[in-house]
Amino acid sequence: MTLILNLPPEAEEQLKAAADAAGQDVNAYAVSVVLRGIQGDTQEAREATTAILAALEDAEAGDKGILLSDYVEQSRGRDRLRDAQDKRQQRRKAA
Amino acid sequence: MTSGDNSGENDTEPTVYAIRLLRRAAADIDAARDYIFDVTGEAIARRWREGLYEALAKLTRFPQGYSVATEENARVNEVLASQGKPAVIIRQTVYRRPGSGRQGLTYKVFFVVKESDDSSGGGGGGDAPFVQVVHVRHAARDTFTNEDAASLAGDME
Repeated sequence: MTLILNLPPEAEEQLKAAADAAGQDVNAYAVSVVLRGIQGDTQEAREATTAILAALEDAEAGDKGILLSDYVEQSRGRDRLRDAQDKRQQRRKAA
Repeated sequence: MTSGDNSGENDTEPTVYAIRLLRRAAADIDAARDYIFDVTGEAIARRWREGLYEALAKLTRFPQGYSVATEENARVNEVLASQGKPAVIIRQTVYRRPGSGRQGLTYKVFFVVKESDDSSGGGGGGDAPFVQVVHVRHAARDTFTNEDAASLAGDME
């Protein structure tokens, strides 16, 4: 379906600016705007947006994040610790 | 797995992006793992998490090839524009355990591709390009249900 809209100049500028800000082609962005209008706000998208904005603010404030390889190593280290604790508990129970 | 080298010595080699998890994204993964642990147990929680790591590691190559998270990207940039901040492109990848066809077992990973460390995007790894993971969430549903847990356990057997 092809939809032809006669937008007032001000709305056209706003649409172009918003598409540019979103890094999208104006047509693709217009489609997303129409879909959002039809489907309404989704709770999931709202929550995701809030979380993403909070993370970006953290980054702006200096959160450099953790390298995936470091994170993986840390989490596996916690697993090993838990395993060792579990084994100790099992030995105590058996004793 | 997550080398930050740009492989600039050989132009024919694709750029390898480092993967950085912002603090909140790491917390998202921890929370998801803890929840899966609570409802399914340690073994399945670990396997779920290891699978997620593999999915994240794939972002080291051609992260720009992943789709833009259309709705979230538009919303985020509307807010950033209203604050006079530069736009970002929010992309996403979907982590679904092999064998699980149900949406309830799907997690979305939202990320931003940074070609170099810049003042607007927080820290990275020097000048090396990197993928900044900003959020990880369970998709399609507000909560992970017991039905999801049973299905996940079945998939992993």
